[in-house]
Amino acid sequence: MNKKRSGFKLGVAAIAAVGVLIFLHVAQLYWPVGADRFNAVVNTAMAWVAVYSLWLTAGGLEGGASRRPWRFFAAGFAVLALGETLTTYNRVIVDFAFRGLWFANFLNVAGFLLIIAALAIRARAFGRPTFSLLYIFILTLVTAAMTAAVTPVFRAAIASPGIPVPIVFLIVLMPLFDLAIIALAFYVATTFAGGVGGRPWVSVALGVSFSAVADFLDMYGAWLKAEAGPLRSASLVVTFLGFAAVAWGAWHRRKVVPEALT
Amino acid sequence: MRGKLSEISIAGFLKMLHEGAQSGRLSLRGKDGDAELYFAEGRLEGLNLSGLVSADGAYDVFRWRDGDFELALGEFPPPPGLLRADEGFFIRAEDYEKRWAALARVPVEAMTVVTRAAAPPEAPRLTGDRARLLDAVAGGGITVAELARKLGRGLTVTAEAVAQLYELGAVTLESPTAPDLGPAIAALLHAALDNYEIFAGKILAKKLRRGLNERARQLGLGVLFDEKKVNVGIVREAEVPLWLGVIETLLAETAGPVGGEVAQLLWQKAVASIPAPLDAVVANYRLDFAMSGVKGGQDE
Repeated sequence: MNKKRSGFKLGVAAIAAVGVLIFLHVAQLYWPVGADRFNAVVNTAMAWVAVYSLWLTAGGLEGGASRRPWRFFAAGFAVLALGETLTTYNRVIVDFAFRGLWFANFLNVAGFLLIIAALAIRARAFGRPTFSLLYIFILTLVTAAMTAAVTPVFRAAIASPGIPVPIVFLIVLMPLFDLAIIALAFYVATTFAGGVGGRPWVSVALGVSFSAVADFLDMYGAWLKAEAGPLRSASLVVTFLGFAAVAWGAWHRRKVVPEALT
Repeated sequence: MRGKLSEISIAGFLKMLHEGAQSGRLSLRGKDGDAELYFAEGRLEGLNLSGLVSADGAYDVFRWRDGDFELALGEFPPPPGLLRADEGFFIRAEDYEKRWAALARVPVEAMTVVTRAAAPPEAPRLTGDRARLLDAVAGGGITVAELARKLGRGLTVTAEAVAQLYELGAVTLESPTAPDLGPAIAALLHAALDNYEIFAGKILAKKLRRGLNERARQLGLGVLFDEKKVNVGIVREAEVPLWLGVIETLLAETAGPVGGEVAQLLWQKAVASIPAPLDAVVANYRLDFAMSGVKGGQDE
């Protein structure tokens, strides 16, 4: 690839991404209802871009076994994107938001399970585990941050009168899923540390971390009754970043990594 | 009187001097050493041997074929401290010479390089001495003389065992003058590993080196990597399949962590940098990625 041209493309993409993020944030603050809908549509579109990018990457790889993790990844994100689409449809077209457990929650769980499977297949291919100091540091930090973040939410949720058991189950399960995904993604990324092959996985690891942050922000909004505007804006922006990072990682794996080897 | 060793039977010559009750000195100049034999009225009064000497001692001279001899008749008192021989020496001498004559069917001599065959026969077929010898061969090229020294055995019995293993297909033999492909193999491994590290990073490259060292140990090739330095040593053409086995392991082990498609790219890049004369050798072996299990690997 022409380095000058790819640098230019990268610059344009970065400026466009920052522009979109600023727009999303500002619009959310000054035009909450409309922006909320618009942002939901943008996020859903980005989710499908990530699915498309992952699917293309899986298709570009040789052999059944070699593309399996990427296919699981694509399937996992497709299920999440479907959930996102249903939620957005309810919010934008029907103007209705479920308060309890509904179909999209099941899709979320299924998507997370597929993503965990993809990362576990990838991590297993390394053979006997190798833990670097960097990985142990990241994992300790993430676990501590997640524990600190989830505890007040969990307390507030439990203290709420008449909370359905499935919701409690979900409140406990989702952070655990997030932790498992982040742990596996950073394991893969740090095992490749210093190599060209690790770059897509850094993007993926950051992407899933953003998704986890977005989940926490949503939980804060729902259970701690925090000020809805900025929290909602931050959640949507971070979700957008998460999908974009995963899409970028898949694209990088498909285009840049093979070129770096030839 | 002088002549070439290939034109006489040394044992027969000695027997003739012994039975003719001759006095004199027989000097032998072989490519593996020198010997002087002092006779007094047919008795072997002293034997001085230098050069490549195995546990066979004086009997090592009866395998010499390349070289010259010189016989000087008359009184030649031997220097003190030399080996004296009894009647049995002449009988055993003939026996040793016959055994080496029988070995002429196989291209084996002291400096012949012995290497484990790429596909040796099943273990139950090799028992006792032959199995121990095969263990001592280990995989890397070793000369028959080094083998005899390693096992503390005579050169003759070692050469006979090597010939048997050769006939069973357990080892390959190569002339000591064959070209050394070690630098070419080292360059190939370096290229493959450097590309691997660029892609997979230091942690996986270190892990791969450990895996390859393990495989090299199994094949008896010794330590391959000391830190990042490839330690290949002398590699003869017959050993190339063993090294290709190590490289196949490299492919198979990289296929898991980096994926079949990337392993192929890494390999193609390494092969493109193979120096002559290994390129022709590698081309003949037609390394098959499917055989190496690369296509079945996990992707990165």
